[in-house]
Amino acid sequence: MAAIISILIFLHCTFAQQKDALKILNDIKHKYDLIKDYEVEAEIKFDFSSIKVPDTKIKIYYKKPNKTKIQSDNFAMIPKQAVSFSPIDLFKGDFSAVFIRSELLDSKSVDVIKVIPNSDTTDIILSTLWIDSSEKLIRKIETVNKHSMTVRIDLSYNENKYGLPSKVIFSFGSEEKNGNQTTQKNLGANFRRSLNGTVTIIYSNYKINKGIPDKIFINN
Amino acid sequence: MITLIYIELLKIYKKWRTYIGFIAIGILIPIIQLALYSTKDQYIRVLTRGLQDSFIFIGNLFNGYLIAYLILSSLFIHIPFLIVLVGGDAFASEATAGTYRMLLIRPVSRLEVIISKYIAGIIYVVSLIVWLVLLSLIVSILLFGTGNLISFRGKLIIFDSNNVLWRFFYAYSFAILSMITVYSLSFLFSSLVENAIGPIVATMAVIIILFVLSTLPIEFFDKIQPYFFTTHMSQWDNFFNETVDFKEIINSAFVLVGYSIGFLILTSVIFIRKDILS
Repeated sequence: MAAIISILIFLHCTFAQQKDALKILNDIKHKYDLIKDYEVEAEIKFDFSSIKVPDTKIKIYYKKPNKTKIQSDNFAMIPKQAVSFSPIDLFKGDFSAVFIRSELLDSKSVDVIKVIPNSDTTDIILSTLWIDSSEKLIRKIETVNKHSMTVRIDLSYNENKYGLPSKVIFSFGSEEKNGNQTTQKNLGANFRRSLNGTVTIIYSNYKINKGIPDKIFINN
Repeated sequence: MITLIYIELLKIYKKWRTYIGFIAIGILIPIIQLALYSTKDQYIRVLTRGLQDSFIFIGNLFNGYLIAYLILSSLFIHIPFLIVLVGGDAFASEATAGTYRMLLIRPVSRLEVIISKYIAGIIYVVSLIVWLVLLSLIVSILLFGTGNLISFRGKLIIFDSNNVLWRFFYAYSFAILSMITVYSLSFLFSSLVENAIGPIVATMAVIIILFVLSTLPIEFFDKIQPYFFTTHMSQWDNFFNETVDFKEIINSAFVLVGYSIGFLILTSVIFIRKDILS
């Protein structure tokens, strides 16, 4: 009897600590649902060994549900995830979410959730999210794509109401070993294998829910 | 001296052979521009294929600067062959036409004749490169616009649009210096013979041999490659590096100037001592 009670107590403790991954993700999604539109200035800095790109300033416009526009006076190379940073994009489609554990990230308690697409046609095969559930903020994302490339995204925030980041660092790392010397002919393929470095984006002058006319997105 | 140079310029620009270089560049560059115009930014897409999975590209990388850079890269090795058509003719044409005596009985020294021919040749070289600049850079900018310049140096470098024109200016200037060296060699060969074909073919042969030896990745040639002027001719490309090695470029410029002066001195010695029999 004592043994059964012990097992029941153990099971109760174990499952009590398990959190609902979908609920955590939905909390985040609800927070982003408050954003109808925004415009923001962004400064992009590259630090790659295989690519040298000058620092760029761009302006990003976003309007629900999926309208985006980027304005830049010069050439700009922007990580795809940086254009419209919204978890709606991250979680759209069919996926499974699993709560892994709670841990400390930069002295903040975060929940680690793994998101696995159920479809085999998506480019991303696994995403891991470090979510600050108390503030309902994504602190870190790690994705692995079909090309064995890992992208780590570290996010910092100045404000908490809408959960839009003030600084995002994209760290690209490839697990594939590249034995071939890079030439102009195999450059494209080799970039995918040797893309190691960071892109830092500093966002400033957010204008959230101020209304953006649709004509801005014409000829995008 | 100015009159002498003017006369030599008239001799150069009144020959149809002089315009072969201009015509060749005038035909080739529009063909390249037309081909690139029809393929649009396919070149950029191929070059950045591996990056397009992760990045969005905004702006015009397929612009006049890129076209001018591609043209200069592909034509630079062939322009010497257009230069020697005039350089090889400098003295040999006088012998062929039988005008040596008439030229040298005038109250001018042989050295003045040599210098005037040399300066006229340099003006031809400059005019050919200016023609190249006009068609490859100016026309390409008019057709394709301006923007950042994408360059490949074992890694992908994208230069800011404000950081490009000075690179072209120095690259074309260095190209002029390189072509003057080529002209000087053909000028030397031209003073040796009485038929223009010989110096043209001989200069071409020397340039081909030295170009090949300059680029062969064989350890045996490593120590002698710095002594070939062809090794230093490609330094124009250094201006499109992320960090321009001015020390190396200046060193190469000195080598090319040294070769040019050397060829000119040798030509002067040969021509001043030459017994005119034609």
